[in-house]
Parts: sequence; C-alpha cells; structure tokens
Amino acid sequence: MIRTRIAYIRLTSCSGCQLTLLNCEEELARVGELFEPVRFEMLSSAADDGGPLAAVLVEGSAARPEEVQRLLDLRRRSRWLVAIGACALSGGVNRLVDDRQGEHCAAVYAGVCTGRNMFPPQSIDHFVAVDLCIPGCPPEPQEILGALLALQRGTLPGFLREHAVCMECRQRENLCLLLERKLPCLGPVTRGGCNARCPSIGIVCEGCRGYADQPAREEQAHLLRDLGLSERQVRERMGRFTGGNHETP
Amino acid sequence: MDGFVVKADFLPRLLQQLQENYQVVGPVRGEDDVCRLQPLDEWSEHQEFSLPRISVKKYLFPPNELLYTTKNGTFEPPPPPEQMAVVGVPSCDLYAVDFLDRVFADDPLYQRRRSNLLLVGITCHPSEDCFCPPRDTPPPFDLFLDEERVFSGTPRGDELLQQLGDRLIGEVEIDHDWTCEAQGPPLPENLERRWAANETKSFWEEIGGRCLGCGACSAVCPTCHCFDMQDRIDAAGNAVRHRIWDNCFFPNFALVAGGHDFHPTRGARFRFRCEHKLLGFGVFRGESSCVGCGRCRAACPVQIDILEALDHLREGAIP
Repeated sequence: MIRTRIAYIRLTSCSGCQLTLLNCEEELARVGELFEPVRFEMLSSAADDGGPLAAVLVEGSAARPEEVQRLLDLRRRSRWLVAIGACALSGGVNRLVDDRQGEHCAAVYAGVCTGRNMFPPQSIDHFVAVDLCIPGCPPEPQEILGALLALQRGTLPGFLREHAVCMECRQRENLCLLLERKLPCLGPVTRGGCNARCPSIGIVCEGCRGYADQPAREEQAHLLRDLGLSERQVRERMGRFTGGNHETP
Repeated sequence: MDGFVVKADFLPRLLQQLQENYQVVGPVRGEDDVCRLQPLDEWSEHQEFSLPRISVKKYLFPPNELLYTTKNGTFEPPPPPEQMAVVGVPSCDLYAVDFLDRVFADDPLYQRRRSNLLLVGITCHPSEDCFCPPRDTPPPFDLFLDEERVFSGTPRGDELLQQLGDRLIGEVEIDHDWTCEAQGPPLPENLERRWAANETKSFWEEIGGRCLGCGACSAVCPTCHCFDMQDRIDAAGNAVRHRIWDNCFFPNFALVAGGHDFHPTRGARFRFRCEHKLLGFGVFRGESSCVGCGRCRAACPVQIDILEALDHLREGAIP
C-alpha cells in the first residue's frame, strides 16, 4: 500500500498540537500504516526528500521571515494545507504580545534572539491559502485523526463543527455556568466540537477553539459587562485565543 | 383505558417489575441540582415532579445516532435498541412524543426505538416557566400515574397492571383533566394571517439583536427534530454515517450551494424557529408543536421568550 505523504511543521507555538496527535497511542500504529511522515520532526528523524506532498499540517503562528519562507515552500509542494490550533488560525495566545516584543526577547533570550528579526505573530492565512482549519488550544485528538483519515481518502472532512459550544453543552444537560452560576462563560460565541469539555466539569469555556461561525460578539460582550467585568477584562477574555485582544469586540 | 387506585407500595413494585424486562430510566436530580433522565436503580432516586433538562426525546431521536457503517462495500445497520422504560414523564413531554411519532412515522430507526420504549407518565407539577396549551385528549402512554391512581393506555400497560394486580385496590373512572393547571395563553386567532402580516416587522430583528445564536432553545426543545448527516472515515477505512441534531440558529442551517442563506440574520432565524414551532410546515401546517414545557425560556442566556413572540402576534393588526 502506498502511504500518503504528509509533512507537519511547527512555526511559533508550544508543540502542544502535535503532542496531542502523538499522544493518540492507540491509533498511531494505524496512522503509521497509512501515512509517510516526509517531514515531521517530533515523530521522525528522516530527512525531508523535498518531493510533493498530499498534505502539510501547520501548527503555530508566523512571527519570523524564515517561518513565512518555510510556509510558502511547503504550500507549493502540497495539495492540501491544514492549519492546526489557535496559533495557526488566529495568532492564538502569541497575539497577547505587547509592542515591547523586541525588549522582552532580548531580556529572555539574550544573545540567542534579539527580537529584531521578528514581527507581531500572524495567523498563517495572511501568507498562504488554507484548505482546512482544525481549531483548539490544543485541538481535539479525534478531530485531527478524523481529518487525517479523510485526507487519506482524498477529501476534506465534513464533520468539523462551526457552531457554538452551547449546543453540545446543552446536549450533555450541563448546568449552565453563564445563566445559573453567573460565570463569564464564552460558550455562546466559541466554536464547538469539543463536546463542551470544560463546562461539563464545571469550568467556564475560555474560548480556546476560537469564534464560532458568525459569533454574536457584541451581545456576548454585553453579557460579560452585565456580570461585572470591566471593559478591559471583557476584551482580554474574548481576545485571548482569537487574536483580537487589541480591539473591543 | 383502565384506571385503578393503587396501594402505597405500587411504585417501587412497578419499578421492580419493569427492571425484569427493561432498562429503566427516570428523572434524577444530580449533585449540581440539575434533573436528568438517567438509569434508575431504586425508586427513592426518582424525582417525581421534576422536568429533566432534555426530554425522553433523547432516547427516541438521539443527538448523535449511528445510521450505518460500510464494510467492504456492504452496509451494516446499527445494533437493535434495547428495551427501555422511562418513568415519570410529564404530560407535556408525552404530547411531544405524540408529535415526534407522527414526524418520524416513516423513519424505521425511530420506529424501532419507539416500539422498544415503554412510557410511564405522571401528573405534572408545573413550574413557573410552563404554559401548556389546552388538551382534551390524553397523550400517548403505557401507564400514567395520577397521585394514588394509575391508568393504562396500551395492551403493554394492561399486562403490567395484571402482573401487579395484588397492588391495585379497585377500578376507578378516568376523569383526569388533561389540560395542565399551568395553562398558557391560547394561540392567537387567525395566526396564519397575523404571521404573514408580520414578516417584515422590525420586532424579529430587535429580538435578533439580543440573541446569541447559541441554539440552547432548540437543543432543549422536546419537539425540535431537525437533523444533519455526518460522515466520517474510521481507522479501518470504513465510512460511518451519523444523524446529528441540527439547529436553526446555526449559520449554516439554511445555507445552500452557491452561498445563498435563506436566514442570514439571527432575527430571521428566530422568526423561522417561531414559525416552525407555532405554525408548522408541510402536512403539519396549522398545528403548533409547542407543548408549553418552558424549557426554551429557562435555557435562554438572554431571556428571549417564545411567549413574547406570541404576544407580539396577538397584538399586531390583521390586514
């Protein structure tokens, strides 16, 4: 059986997304049968042969010129490009950086990185066409695996949900943290597909999967203000994973 | 339909009897104070008068139902559903089952689940959210518990009462008033004409301006039944198809090829939901499927109320 050639690259990120995939120990053997990791540094030490790819999976936001170069190279080689995780999709938590990025870099990584060759982290769709987005910080393992299996069959997956977390939360008959506990839950505007992982154990949705399709941002911000959050708190809470902490929703 | 007065230990005995042949579920209040239908071991766990977050619909039309798996080019149907008994179902949810029975009359998977489901209804103790429509016929049930009386509505119910004959005291006449004491306002007259006249009114967009589009109202509704199909490839390479609950507040609900959206705003989506609930579509046109359980009002994070829409329609002018 000819294995499907894929690459997985990481730009500016924590590697949490690829760890999520590599932690799927039960499924990894099967993934190995179906896919050839042409370039996947955390999985394989094989050298990239530079040939064409069926898919490249990209984790992280672009924050340096060489990252953009890598992105462009792999885009040219690959039929599909999949953005994985909040950083790739919106800039993610990397967007929380303030305008003293260079100073911070010099202080933390003195000598190694001066911060001079960096720019404010960007979602990858600023530079390349993205065929598929898998949201989350980190994404749901079954969403990554399901997407890979669909790509292996030569198609994009149709199961990734774009509606709010509330739907799955209600289906699980959870206590509504927003309504019944008056907690600043972001479920109504956050993209579902996580089966309401956090609200189901009593933790408010922090919005790690980014915005749902057509989110009611103003209405949600209004609700949070009614719960006593300041303008700044609303902005920070809603912007944490959506790359939008610099603007009022 | 037969009715009997029952002895004090009838309910625990009924549970024991049901447990012989059925997986028994009933309303149970969890540590978080939320009432859900879940497996019942002891009668003492049962919350007699609590409305569960999601009605018995979740067993008849599950949120995520396997339709089939393909294996080497052949279709493999899902395993048959188990025999299930749901106890303590309030009449609003029973009327909702009656509606779903007709919506899914030709759906073999629904009907298979339905024929394996035994319903034990119970007299409702309404909450402040309820607004039941008036009723003059009983809802579907196998047994119905009305304080110290029990009614049987099907041969299956008759059989159960025969088995529990020593727990029955004497036959009684069934004079139950099927209209709930929490009776809501009747539907406005000439609803169809009022509806047509309201199409362009800003009322719907005002509501849409508050709506979060989260879909909670539809998710908890005992009669909402829109669904989508979802295909996945499993690790063995089989295609797996599921039927999942859809929701008319989802932006892609009325989106069609070419990018046209029939309900492009939250106001339009709310109006569509009200039309489906209050006026119905297709063969159900003219029949309200709102059973007045009040779940949608209680679930809405921004207090949008279907009664507000009814009031608006009632007060509007008829052309």
